[in-house]
Amino acid sequence: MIALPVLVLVVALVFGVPIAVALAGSGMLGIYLVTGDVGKVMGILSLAPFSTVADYALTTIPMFILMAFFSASSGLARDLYAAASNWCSHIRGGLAIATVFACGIFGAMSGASTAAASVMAKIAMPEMRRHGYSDELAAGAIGIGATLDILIPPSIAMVIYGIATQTSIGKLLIAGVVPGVIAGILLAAMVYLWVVVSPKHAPSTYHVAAKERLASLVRVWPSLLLILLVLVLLYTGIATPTEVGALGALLAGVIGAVFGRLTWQEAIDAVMSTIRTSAMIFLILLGATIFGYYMALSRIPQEVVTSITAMELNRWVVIIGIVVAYFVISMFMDEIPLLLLTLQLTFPLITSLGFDPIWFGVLSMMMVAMGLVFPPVGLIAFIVSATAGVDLMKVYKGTSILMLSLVATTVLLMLFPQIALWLPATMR
Amino acid sequence: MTVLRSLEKWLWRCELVLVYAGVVATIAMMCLTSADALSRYLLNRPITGAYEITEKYLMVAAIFLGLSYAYRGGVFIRVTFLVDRLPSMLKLAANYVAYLISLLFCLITLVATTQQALRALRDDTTLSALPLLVGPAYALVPLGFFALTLIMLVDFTRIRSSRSYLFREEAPPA
Repeated sequence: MIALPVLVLVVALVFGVPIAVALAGSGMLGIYLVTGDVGKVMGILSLAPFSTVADYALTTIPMFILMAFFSASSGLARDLYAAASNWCSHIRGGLAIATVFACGIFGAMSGASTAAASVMAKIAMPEMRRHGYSDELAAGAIGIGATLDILIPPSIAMVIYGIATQTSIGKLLIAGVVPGVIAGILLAAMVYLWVVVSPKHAPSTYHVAAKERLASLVRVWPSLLLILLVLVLLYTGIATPTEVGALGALLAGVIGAVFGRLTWQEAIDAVMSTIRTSAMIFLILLGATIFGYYMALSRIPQEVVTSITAMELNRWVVIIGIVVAYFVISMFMDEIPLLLLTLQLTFPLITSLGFDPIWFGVLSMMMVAMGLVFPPVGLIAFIVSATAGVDLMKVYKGTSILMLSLVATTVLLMLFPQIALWLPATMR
Repeated sequence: MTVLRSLEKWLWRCELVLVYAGVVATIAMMCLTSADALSRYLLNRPITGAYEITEKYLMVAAIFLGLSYAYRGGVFIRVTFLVDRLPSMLKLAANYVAYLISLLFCLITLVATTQQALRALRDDTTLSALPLLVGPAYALVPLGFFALTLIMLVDFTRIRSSRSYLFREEAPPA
């Protein structure tokens, strides 16, 4: 009886009830079943919306989102791609490699991979097509390249993980840097390997004059300034992640305005889009909070931990099981609801088995990143397909091949946790 | 039908007022947080009450006042893997059920948060750093849910034609 709300939640999700409503509704049912008191349900519901939103730490979310929208509207991604392609165009598959690097660098200015996917699909896809790149390679490079954003700070998914698990957001964000860079390098290597094995996917290379290359590099200084500000402030701890988000958004807006790329109307549109996206996240957060009350009252997480501990399984068997489960669920669900839904169960289990919460945060991001480009759902694959006008199956083909780089990074991360833990350990 | 259209027009105007209030709150949040950080680190003088105003007022206004506007853009994300593969009649039935459950949730939340707002408005509690009442901040929550519930009610007529905002695919988040 006590687990009935979990069943209700699954059925509601499968039949298309909005995730936030399904979480809140099954949570309310669960609270009623545990306490037998409608007054308690209403009491929690009356306070939960305000208390979920009125939290200073959560201000980080709209601020990072605003920074992403300002960066996207200011054309910073176009400059980055132009510079990267000028420097890589002489290499076989260079434009796809440039896309990967541009995605990674844009990730340091934008909080979520979906922004990079839609922006890069608009910018990089026509260039790659013009030079005869196959749709599979081009769309695969954009799709997988965009997933790097989930690792590289500022990552909204990381912030959500930090809030849901009470883990240091600053350390989490910094922990994603090295795995993000490794994934980017492996991805570039994978693109190169692909075109060496099958040259028809990237037939042409071209040289750009040194003067033009340098000129394109000069144009990216505002982006580099923004990235430097974010990373330095986060790493040194001079400012809190919330303040970094606000300062980053302000600087992105100022850069756009000073260079005449962000009009007043575009800025207002960016803020309105921020409100819409933030509202979506906070509604799910509200649902997860109510469901969390039920979880706490029913003690289900503790029961799960006790049961799995009693099985005396090797802890690596458990983590591999969780990794596979995350990968499977992430094929059907976006990253934020996935994290908010699963962490209430997996996080107590992970910490009870002695795994580092920051390491698990990065690992779960890797799983989510793969799910975002893998069939049958794969939100980023949809975005690339829709924005670039590429057949979805071609996108999946490209992302499935290049995803090997993410698999390799995940294996490295599991074998050498210090990849994620070294940099945060050096923070003050 | 004309009444419905007039109501929708009026609702849209109200929504714009609310969302522009949300825009102001978001910009104020960005500026205040940045100014507070710069003032604290450069001048060693934090702005009094910045933390609480951001948390209790600006954040709540930015999120809840934009709810109805966000609804039009597809604020409720769903898992549609199975529903998309259902025969059209079953899909329509599933959509009606999802709509009714969502509407019920909004109504119950509206009632619960209104009760809480009325309690808070009767209370004299102020922010700890400034003599500003906290009660009005609580009232922003039911205000947002009220606008959301109204637009959801109007949206009922669009479910049959699959044009409901509730089932609109969300534009990619940032």
